[in-house]
Amino acid sequence: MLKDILEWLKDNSVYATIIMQILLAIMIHFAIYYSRRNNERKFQEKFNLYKTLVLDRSSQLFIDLYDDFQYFQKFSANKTNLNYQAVLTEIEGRKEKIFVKFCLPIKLYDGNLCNDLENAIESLYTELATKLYVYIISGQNISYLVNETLSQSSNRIIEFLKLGAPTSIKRNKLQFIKIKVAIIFKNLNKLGKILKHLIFVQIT
Amino acid sequence: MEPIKIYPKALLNLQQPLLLGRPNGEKLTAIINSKLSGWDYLEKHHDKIIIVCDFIEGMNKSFFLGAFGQRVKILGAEKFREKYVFNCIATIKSDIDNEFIPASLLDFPITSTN
Repeated sequence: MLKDILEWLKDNSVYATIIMQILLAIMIHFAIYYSRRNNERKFQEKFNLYKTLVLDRSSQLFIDLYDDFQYFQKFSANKTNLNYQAVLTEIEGRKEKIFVKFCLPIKLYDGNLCNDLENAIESLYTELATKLYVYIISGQNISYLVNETLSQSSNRIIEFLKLGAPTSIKRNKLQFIKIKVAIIFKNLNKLGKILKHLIFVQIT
Repeated sequence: MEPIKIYPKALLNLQQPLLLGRPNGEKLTAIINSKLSGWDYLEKHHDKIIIVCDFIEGMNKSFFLGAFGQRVKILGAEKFREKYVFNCIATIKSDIDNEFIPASLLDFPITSTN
C-alpha cells in the first residue's frame, strides 16, 4: 500500500507539489482576506463610534465651553459685591452639565479618553474659578485672561481628542504575514525537492 | 481624645485662599495618608477633626468630594457631621451641609481613585 503511494508520488510528485502549493496559496489568501476584512470591520465599528460620540459632538462641546466662559465674564462684569461661594456653586453646576453631556457618552468609546477629557474640563473650570476670584477681589478685567485660558485648554482638548481616534489595521502585521507566506512557499519548493529525493531513495 | 486641626491651605501650599478641584481634594487625602496615617486613623484617635479654613474664601463641590467624599460614604452623613468640624465662613459651611455632604452620598465619579 505504502509502496503504491510512493510509486504514485514518484510519477506525480511535480503535480502533487504544484497542487499542494496552489491549495496552500488559496487557503492562505482566504485566511489573510478574512483576517483583514475582520480588522477593517472592527476598525469601521470603532471609527463609527468615535465619529458619533467624539467627532460629531466636539464642536458642540467647544460652543458650550465658550458660552459658559462668556456667561461668567459678563456675570462678573455686571455684578458688584458678588458672593464668591455662590459663583463657585454656579460654575460647578455648569461643569457637571458638561461632564454629563460630553464625558459620560465618550466613556462608551474609550475610558481613558473620557478621563483625559474630564481632567481637562476640571482644570479648565478650576482655572476659570480662580480667575473670577482674582477679578472679584481686585476688580481687574479678566476677559483677556479668560479667553486665553479657554483657547489654550481648547487646543489641549483638540489634541487628545485627535489622539483618541482609532488607528487603522496594522500594516506591519500584514507585512509580517506576507513575509511568512513567502518563506512558506520557498520552503515548499525545498520540500518538493526533498520529497522527490526521499522517494527516489526509498524505491532504489 | 484631643481634637486635631488640619490646615488644608498650608498642606496643599495654595497661593489663593480657594479650595478648588477634585485633584486638590485627592491630593489633600494623599497628604493626610502619608503624613498623618490617613483620615480613618485620625477618626479613631481623635475626638474631632477640625478643618481650619479660616482664610478660605471658596470651596467647590469637586474639592470636597475629592477630599472627604469617601469619608462621608463610610461614616454616613450624621457621623461625618459629628466627627468633622469645618471652621469656615458661613456660605461655605452652608454649602457643605446642604450640598456637598448629600452629594457625597450620591457621588460616583467617572475617574476618581479616592
